[in-house]
Amino acid sequence: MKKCIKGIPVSLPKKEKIMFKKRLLLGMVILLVVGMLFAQGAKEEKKTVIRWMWLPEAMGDVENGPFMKALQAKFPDVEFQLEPVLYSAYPDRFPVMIAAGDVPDIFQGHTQYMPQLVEADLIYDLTAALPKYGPDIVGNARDGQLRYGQYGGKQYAIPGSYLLKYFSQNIRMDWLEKLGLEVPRTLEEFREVARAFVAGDPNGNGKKDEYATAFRTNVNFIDSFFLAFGVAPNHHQTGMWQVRDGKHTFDWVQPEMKEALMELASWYKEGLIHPESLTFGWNDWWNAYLRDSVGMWYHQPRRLSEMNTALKQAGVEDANMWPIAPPIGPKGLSGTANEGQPWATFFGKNGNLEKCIEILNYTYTQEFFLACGGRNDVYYPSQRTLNEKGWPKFYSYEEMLADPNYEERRTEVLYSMLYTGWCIENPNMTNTWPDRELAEYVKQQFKNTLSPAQVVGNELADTYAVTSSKPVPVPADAKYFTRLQDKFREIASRIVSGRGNPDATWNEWLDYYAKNGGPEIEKEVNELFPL
Amino acid sequence: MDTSKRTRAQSWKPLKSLKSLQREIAKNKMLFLMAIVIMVWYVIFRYVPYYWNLIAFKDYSYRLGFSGSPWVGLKHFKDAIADVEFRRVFRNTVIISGLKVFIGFPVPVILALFLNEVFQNWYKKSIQTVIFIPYFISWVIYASIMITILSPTDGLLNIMLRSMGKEPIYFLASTEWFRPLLIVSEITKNSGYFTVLFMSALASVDEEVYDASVVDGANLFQRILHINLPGIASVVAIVFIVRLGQLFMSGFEQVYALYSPMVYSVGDIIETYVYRQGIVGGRFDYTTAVNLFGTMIGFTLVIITNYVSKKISDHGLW
Repeated sequence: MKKCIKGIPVSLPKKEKIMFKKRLLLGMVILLVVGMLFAQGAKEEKKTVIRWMWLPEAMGDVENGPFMKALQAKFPDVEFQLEPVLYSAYPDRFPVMIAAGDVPDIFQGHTQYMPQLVEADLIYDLTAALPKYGPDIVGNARDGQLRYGQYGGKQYAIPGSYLLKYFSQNIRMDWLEKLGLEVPRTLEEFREVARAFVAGDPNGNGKKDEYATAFRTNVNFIDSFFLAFGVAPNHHQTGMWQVRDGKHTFDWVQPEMKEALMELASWYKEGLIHPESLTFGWNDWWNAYLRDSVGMWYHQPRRLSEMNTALKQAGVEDANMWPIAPPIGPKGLSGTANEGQPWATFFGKNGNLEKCIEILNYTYTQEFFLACGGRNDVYYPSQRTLNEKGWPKFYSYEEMLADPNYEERRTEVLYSMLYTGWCIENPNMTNTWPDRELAEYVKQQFKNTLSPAQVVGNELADTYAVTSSKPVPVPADAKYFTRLQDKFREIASRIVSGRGNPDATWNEWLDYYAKNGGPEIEKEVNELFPL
Repeated sequence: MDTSKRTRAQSWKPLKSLKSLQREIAKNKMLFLMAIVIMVWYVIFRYVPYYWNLIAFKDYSYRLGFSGSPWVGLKHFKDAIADVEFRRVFRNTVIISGLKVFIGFPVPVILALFLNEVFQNWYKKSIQTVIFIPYFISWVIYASIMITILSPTDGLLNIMLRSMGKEPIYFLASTEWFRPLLIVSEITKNSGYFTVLFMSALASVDEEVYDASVVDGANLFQRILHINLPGIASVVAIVFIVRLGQLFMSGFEQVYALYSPMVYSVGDIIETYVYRQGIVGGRFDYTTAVNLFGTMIGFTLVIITNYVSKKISDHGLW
């Protein structure tokens, strides 16, 4: 038995001494590793947390895509906390979020909410910080784009690059051919074609199940018919303003709006418009077209190839939805409406302004483009390969057609571009990229991805777009617009569906408008946007 | 016939003193323990939010927040009363709720009374199950089924109408049909639940009394009228009072899932109006006032009904 003091042997044999030293060394190594782990943990705790709220439908599974991976690589000091909110849940979420005073660092939303966000002091004024921390955002912005994010003379948001001229009137060209009809030009010719679509069984199934056109929720997504009378509800009913007699005037209360509604009412009564479409949601609307039962479609040219592919997948082999000029009304007017007040990116007042602008700015840069290989989606391999310079080489439209699943995946890409620097429809994109050869190459690559229908549709959209003269909300909108919007929806659907006396219904609307803030909004619009 | 025997539900009496409460707690510890969870839920989700009803008396500003917003007294209540839209949703709410109560309420009572007379057990259970199942389907699903069946283009009902040479009807967009559809769908969906409730109350009716009446030669109608109905009167009264208290809650989920701007004139109710104007439109102060107004009337109705019920039948909530 060896002598021990407090359990430690006073004198150890050589072998045991070596063992003791080994154990001591092992203990020290373990301590070191644990210490390093703790240090690492402490270091990670110092990361800036950025809460980013986005729409899953609009940006795909961003969290797992090359988009976010490129951002994480560029900003290792940032921990991104992504907060997905369904597009359909957005209208509920936004006002409550504002009332609760809890907004994320970066979030996308409709500029309709800008007055409330500013009043609640929840978003940053970007006027000074944007040029400093977001030079690529400013440099690559579409012409006039930033104006749509200003409120009270200050920059509060970065509007999506997709805005402005991007809607077209489209028609089933294959139906026209089957029935031996010419492309309609005037509203009367459109009506004749509509009657032929309904009576002529262009889908050839022997049933009377065709309609000329369909609304998407209330009287939305049919602005081209309204603009034949010179007014528009705007496809999301965010309001359409035009200058008349030297003043900004609201389209919804013009006598021409009543005329347009009455015209649509007669179409509805005649069975030319899908009877259920006044209550259609997005899926009902889309499916009505896919059932090969609706011939005229008002939408973005970029969705045309998606529609045609979906129709073909649904078994309509010769489907050809094609863009045409919008109908000309009785006074010679015609047009397609723009976005009105667009969606935009806001920065919540949580102490991270510079970092947030830097992050968004990065998505506009050449470096980001190369870092994520030209992709900010998850599913779609938009780049076929890299060229000899290591630049992404995209599928051309013809190559895409060979891929049966292309359209589905392409949609992800298109949506993901809406709220970041990516937007193939933005002619200024790549303006600030240092490698001009790459910039030109990318523009050409993107151009090659466009379908022939989209090229024609874009040109038509550029030619016929009618732009709202009121780019952003005014303070009175926060108080009154929702109730006016709510009432207009009711009035429009009542007149179009033929319920009640249309004159009395219209007068009811004018009376409601006059008593519920309409004149106040008009006054502010004319004061804040002097002509 | 002795119908004075009190059921278990009728035998509950208020506690006279703190000591008797203590005794009761000691005796039914587990029951009280389980009740605590429910009470905590009620306090958190039903009573605590009452405080924020004060927003109805303030001119709520996002900038100033709840506490900083200025006090405006009854302004929003006056605005609501002057608002033609509010008057419409108020009228719709009363009509729809009233029809649901006065048409829909007797249905499960009648069903329960008649089912109670069915002595083929398998048949009774089958009917009970069939009418009870819709209660477990959410309104969103139930509405989807209705929308499909009632579709003017390819709905089953309109296909039948067409085959009979009649014009199709867009039921859900029709101001004439919308309210009846609400009532019918409410009855078909929820009657099963209340039927089971009343049937369980009927189970507590003394069988001896029932047997005696048969011996005495009472027919089916007399047995229902003089034994079964008085036997469940207390439960019926309580359910009726509770339903009246919900007069201004016409069923948000049901209406929201089925309505559209085309039927606002007959189908827009306080809850859907509050949702659109309050949650979506951000008019929190005004819509709180609207909701509070309806709730106060509902509360008053409960008190009056309870008083009347006690006077007439000696049955009430308190």
